[in-house]
Amino acid sequence: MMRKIALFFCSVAFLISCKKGIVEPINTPYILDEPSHFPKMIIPIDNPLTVNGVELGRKLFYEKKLSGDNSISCADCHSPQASFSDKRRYSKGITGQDGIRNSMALVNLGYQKFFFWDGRSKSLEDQILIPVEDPIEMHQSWTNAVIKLKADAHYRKEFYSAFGTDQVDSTLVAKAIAQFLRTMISGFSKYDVMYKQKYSLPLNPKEQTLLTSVTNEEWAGYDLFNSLNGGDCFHCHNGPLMHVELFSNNGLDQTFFDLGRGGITKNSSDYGKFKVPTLRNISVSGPYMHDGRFETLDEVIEHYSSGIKISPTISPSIEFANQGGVQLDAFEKGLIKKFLLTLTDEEFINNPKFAPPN
Amino acid sequence: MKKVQLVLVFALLVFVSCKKKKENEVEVVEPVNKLEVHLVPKANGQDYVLDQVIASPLGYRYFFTDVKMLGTDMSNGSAVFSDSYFFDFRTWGTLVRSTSGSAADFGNLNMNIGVPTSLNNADPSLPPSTSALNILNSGAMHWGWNPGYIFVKLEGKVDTTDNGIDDFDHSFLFHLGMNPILRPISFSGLNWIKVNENLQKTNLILNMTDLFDKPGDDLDLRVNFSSHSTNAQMFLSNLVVDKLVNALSKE
Repeated sequence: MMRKIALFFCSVAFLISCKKGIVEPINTPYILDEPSHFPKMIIPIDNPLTVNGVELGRKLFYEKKLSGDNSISCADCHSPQASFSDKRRYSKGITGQDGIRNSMALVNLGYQKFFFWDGRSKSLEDQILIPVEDPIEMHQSWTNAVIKLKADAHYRKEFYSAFGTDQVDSTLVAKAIAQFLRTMISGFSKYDVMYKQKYSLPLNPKEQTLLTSVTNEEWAGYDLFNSLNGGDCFHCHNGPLMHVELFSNNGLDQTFFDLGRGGITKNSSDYGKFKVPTLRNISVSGPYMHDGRFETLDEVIEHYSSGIKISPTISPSIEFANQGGVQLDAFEKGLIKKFLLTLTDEEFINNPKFAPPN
Repeated sequence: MKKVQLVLVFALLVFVSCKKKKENEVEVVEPVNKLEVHLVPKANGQDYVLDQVIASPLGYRYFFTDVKMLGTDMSNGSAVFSDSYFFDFRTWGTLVRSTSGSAADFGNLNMNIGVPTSLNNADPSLPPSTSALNILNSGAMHWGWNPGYIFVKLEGKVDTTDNGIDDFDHSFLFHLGMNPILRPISFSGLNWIKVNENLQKTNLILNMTDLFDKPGDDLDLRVNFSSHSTNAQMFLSNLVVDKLVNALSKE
């Protein structure tokens, strides 16, 4: 009898002698499928990708409970068919009020360091927190959003699976969505195989097949795009990601209704500068520019050809600003457009992993 | 006897089942001595800030909007400071590169302005993410593999008119790169300043007024305002990079 009592106490001692935190659920790391010509994505140490985390993030990306009246989700302004941007010039929040900027395409975000057109966020996790509380977007306090999510037993279970806790908060919501966004990699377009071919990178059979479909006009457009005396586009749009990480005034206005980066830094030398966007999937991500003023690629090309407006902060890289632009003829404009269309990655746009969960 | 044994086992289990640090136990962490190399742009002896107007002795006015420099092989003999650096004055201020180590190892410092051929014409996605040469860090400084990296970017505005009004009507832009533009530079007798217990820094100086408007120069920004280091522009690019080398000194 004494022995049984002692064993009982030993067992109890085992269980209570150590104040252990939350039991970590078994979670499988998510392996990113990064194109061979891309740099390696830097994942934050405190938010590693896991299968459960990514799946939860996908569900939250399409979750309308994140808006004040349960009417819109992230995907309403970042539609897959538009390369996760918005076909409307300005997105509408739950009150029906227009924003002041066009929704940016959500593509290859894991390789970027600044977010929003004005670069106000320096991490994806930080960026995700903002639209929920913005009164002209989802217009809901995080407190309310979290209450709604916690009321759902499925979410409690999924947060536990992803993060080892059912204590849902805005940080975990942002982490989950950030994990999902980091998986949204676009790297299989005609441009990608042209890039690899140009720099003698090995192409797999699937890429070889795609390469055979590239036309002479598309190659000519690529050359013109990269020509100093042609399109002169490459200063801001180059490399595997098809953009460089900088803020630029690309000659849209002489005076600024929207200060862009300058509104964040309060530095007048940043007035009218906006984050340079990627050109990936540009054929489906219109309208274009920070305010969606151009509906078509033809209008965009015309802007750089003859519509440049000089202002104090115009980018020095727009070298032909004094003559209104690079002055392309109709044939050249056609070639540039053909090249821009090579940036469409159908597999990305139609990837079922990025579609709404069942 | 059995009772005693059981009590002992019980007590032992309680003690060993949880490895808990004592309340007052302090983990001893070796201090890491951090070193920073800074590049401080100056104009007329004062710290220069971007967009600040400089009056040229040649009679015109101009200002810089961007100063960037990418380079490699920061070392002093066998002591390696860093394999690469990226100075981006607008984005990151004066910091060129930091490392951990002893200042005593870096009384002198050698480095390249630019990237040696073998790296310059290689895949910019391959360097590790900590390298300044990784395209995620140097994206704005890359032209594509064949021409390689842009080693130096000097951009700004110049007033080309003589109307007495600062209208800064023209941009200037020097994108210096291509293999022949590589320049080794050396600094000796560096001054290491103690910032705090674990940080020392040394300042290099970039004299902005030595870049374009020294008396006797044949480089007038009103006329020579652009180079992308194409074959036809290499003379100008070589001229500017040499002027840059001469404008650098230790503090």
